[in-house]
Amino acid sequence: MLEVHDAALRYSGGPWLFQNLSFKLADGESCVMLGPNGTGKTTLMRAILGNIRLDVGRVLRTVQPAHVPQRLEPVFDFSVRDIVLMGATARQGRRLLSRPRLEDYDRADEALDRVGLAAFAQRSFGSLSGGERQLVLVARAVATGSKLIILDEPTAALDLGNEERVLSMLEALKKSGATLLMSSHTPDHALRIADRVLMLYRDGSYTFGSTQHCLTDECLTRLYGLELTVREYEDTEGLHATVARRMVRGIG
Amino acid sequence: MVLGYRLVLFLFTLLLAVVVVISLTVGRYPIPASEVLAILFSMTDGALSEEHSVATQVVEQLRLPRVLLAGLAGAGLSAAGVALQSLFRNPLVSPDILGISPGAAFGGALAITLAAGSLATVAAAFVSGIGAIALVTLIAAFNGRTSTLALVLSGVVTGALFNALISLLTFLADVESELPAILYWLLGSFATAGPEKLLILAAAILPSLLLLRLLAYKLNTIAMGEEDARSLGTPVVALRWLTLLTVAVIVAASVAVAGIIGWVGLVVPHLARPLVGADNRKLLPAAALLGASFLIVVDTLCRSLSSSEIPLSVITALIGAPLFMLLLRRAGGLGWARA
Repeated sequence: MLEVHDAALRYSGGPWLFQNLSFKLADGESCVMLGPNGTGKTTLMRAILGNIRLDVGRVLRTVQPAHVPQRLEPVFDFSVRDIVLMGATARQGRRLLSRPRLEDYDRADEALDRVGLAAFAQRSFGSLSGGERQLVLVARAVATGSKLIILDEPTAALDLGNEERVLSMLEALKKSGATLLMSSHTPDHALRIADRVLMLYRDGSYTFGSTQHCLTDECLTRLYGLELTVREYEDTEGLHATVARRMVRGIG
Repeated sequence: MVLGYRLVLFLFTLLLAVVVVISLTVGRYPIPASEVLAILFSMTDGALSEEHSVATQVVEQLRLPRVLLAGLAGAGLSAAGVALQSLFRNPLVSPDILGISPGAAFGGALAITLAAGSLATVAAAFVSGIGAIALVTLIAAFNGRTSTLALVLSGVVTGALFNALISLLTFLADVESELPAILYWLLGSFATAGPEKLLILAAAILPSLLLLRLLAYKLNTIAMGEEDARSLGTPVVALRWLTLLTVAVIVAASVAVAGIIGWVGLVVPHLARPLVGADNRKLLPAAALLGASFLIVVDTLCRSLSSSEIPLSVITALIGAPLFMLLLRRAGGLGWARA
């Protein structure tokens, strides 16, 4: 589905964001990308989406991925349905003179229904709350029909309730067979969504592996420069866990 | 408040029809509306009236070409404004910003200085306007960047360059004959309307309007940001250049036949957007219809307010500036996303 091979990238003359980065996601496998600010999470996603070029290495993907940006603030106010419709028409491929067909409208409405916002179709996107907007963007990705969805910190600016709504939607998407690649600042998300974790460290190195392999005290402490421990609570369903910060001293 | 699209389109078409008829009645030789309608219907019959009354001659040969010219230019410039505001994701962009108007104006001013005929002036303005957009492209490409911002900056640079050249021409021009001609032409006027100019403008603007309407849906996706548009299946670079070139044709043609007409491309999109929303598939036709009415009204004022013709840009600015201020006051309802 998605393979990044020996990738390296840096901004003109700056230090390498990452080097010799290789990982592979099979169909239906989901990956959460963790790392402090500035380690190249968004940049790597842009390279996978084909918006920038890697300096070294290559990206192999079997489908054109759908993208859920961190946030979307269109200058002119479109209706919710118009925005999701743009996802539906992406199926027509790269075309200059395309316009939505009847089935595209149907797909857009189905996708909105799926995220529970069917009643919002005629509302203006600008009038929605942050959480609702994010769900609309997820609907837009669903409407593209792509099995590979790339999400850039989709819950970054959301309150707890909205974060939960978006995460539940992503869990449902994963169950239906989608391959997700999502960046996040909350390691818990990896436990809920991911089969694999990609950790990008400040020094340009990385760890890629299963959640059990990556979400360890050692890796997380190295990742965030704080002493962190992973605690598992047996009474919660599945592998829910919380990451507790033990020591804040020593941070500049 | 977004009204039904069909209702708005119907109302704007009705408005245009009323504006055309009223404009044909107004002038130094007033003609009652009933007679104007009778003349128009006899024209559509194809049977030329035998008597050739003064009223028929005034309508057929003087006022109608002028009204059609103003309508075409207004429609073209407004649609160009809609397309550019979408392309650059900026509500303050207008066709003037890319240096096409000063580019075309320079060509026209040069032709006047060289005492070329009126058709040669039109041709020089058109070629020079297209040359300006080519220069914008070159400057942007020379800097190795084709981003939106680089394009706007190149447009500003190109505009400044051509404005300097125009100043040089006016400085060198003969004060008695050429200078007034250049200055009057720079301020815009439809006073020299005639069948050739109408043909030129129609040939440039009608296909351009059609093409912009065909690109309208993909222009919507650009509003999401260029990278987002790309992942939504939009060939961003091709769309950008095709839109720019189409806009250049519209602006160069309208400057060529009527001089620089400011404000229309900026104000009309903002008048239409609150009524039909931001979807370019609806906004482009609505703005084109409204822009046609707007410029016909402006031109009618130009030729009837005083005994001598008032330049177009004076009236468009006098109407446009206060209108734009009013619109800015209630920007929340303008169809812009909230800040």
